[in-house]
Amino acid sequence: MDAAHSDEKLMLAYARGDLRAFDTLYARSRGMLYRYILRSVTDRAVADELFQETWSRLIAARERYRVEAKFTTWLLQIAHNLVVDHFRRARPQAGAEETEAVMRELDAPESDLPDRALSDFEERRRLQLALDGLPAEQREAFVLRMESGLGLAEIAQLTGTGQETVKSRLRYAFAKIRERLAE
Amino acid sequence: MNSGNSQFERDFESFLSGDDARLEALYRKLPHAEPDARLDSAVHALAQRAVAQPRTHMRTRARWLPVSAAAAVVLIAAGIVLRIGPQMQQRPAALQETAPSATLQSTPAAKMESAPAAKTQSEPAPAPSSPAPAAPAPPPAAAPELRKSEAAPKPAPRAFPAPVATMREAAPAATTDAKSATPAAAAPMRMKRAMTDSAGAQTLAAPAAQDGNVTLYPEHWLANIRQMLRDNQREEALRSLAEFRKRYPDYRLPDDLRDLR
Repeated sequence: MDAAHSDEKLMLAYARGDLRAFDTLYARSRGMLYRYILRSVTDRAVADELFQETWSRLIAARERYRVEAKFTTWLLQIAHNLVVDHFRRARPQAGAEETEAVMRELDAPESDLPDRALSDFEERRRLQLALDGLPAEQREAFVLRMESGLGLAEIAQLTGTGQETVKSRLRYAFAKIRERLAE
Repeated sequence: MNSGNSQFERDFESFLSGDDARLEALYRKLPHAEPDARLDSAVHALAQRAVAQPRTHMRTRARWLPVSAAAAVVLIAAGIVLRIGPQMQQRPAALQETAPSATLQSTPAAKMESAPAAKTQSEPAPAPSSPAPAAPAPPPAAAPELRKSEAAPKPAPRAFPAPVATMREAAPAATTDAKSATPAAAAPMRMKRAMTDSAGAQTLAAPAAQDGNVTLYPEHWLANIRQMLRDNQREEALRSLAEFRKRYPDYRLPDDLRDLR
């Protein structure tokens, strides 16, 4: 299958029974989708399950696919719904304040070091911790922005919220991450 | 403070527009998680299975759905006909009980049907269906039993009394020439009449050619004769009473009608 084909054309081709089109589409989207799910649920086993379920639903709905939105948005929307369902089934998450407190406590000894030079590894670790400490909605918006390059409108459509809400979530996420990295 | 805020806003805007190269680079350095080979092959198998399945499966099912629905409707209709048909044939006597006074008049359809019945009456009538004039009491006595056993489960005949009752009101005096037909013999006719001729009520106002009272129980027949007398239809009343005497010679007439000549 020609790599120049758009995701949407590939999806339509697969809906008509072209398995090679699916393979191309899958190869293009698998990493992005998996990281979005993994960073949303932060549990590898759950991520595996939701990843497979996302593709399963896409396959089941292939004949109903219409080119009304970007394929990526459609795919991520399916995943988003599954992630939301997962969180609904799981116990209530810790609130943002509680998470912050835990993180502060964990990092206190290290951040007390006056002449600490942040290694590359340390920066990555902090970013990871900051991401993990974000409330689910903020983390999801941030990951969608960074991982898939989606704009406000697309994230809003995908998550079923308003653009201003998405912007607000991104603003909080961005502020917390910056704060975390600047410590 | 303000400069700090505006700096943050600028950084945030550049993050939104994808120009925050530092954060972007740092994010790309995070563990590049990917699905493992097992997941890849599982998804591929799913996709392959879905394509391999003949899509005609769904279409075949969709095509058969209306056919199955139509067949089901036909079966249900046939079932209803088979179930109700025999009951309808057994029903006349019971119907006569459920609306005895509702059969005062005869519709055109009833007249058409009662004519051949009158002819058969002149023949040696089959005994079981006709309450012999010599024994006028049995019909009312037997009727309650029939009513009990049949009244509840048959919804269709319940719809009949209303239009038939309106027939009676439309032609209260349409009781003249009594010809032949025993009550029991006329019962099936009334049944068919009520079922088949809903428009008959409009034509009922036309004077009946024969005494419709012959199809009634004696008590109701006599009540109609009294009504005729009250309506100054003495001749019709006398004629009807004569017919009554002919049909029920052993019936003990009430005092007010016994000496009526």
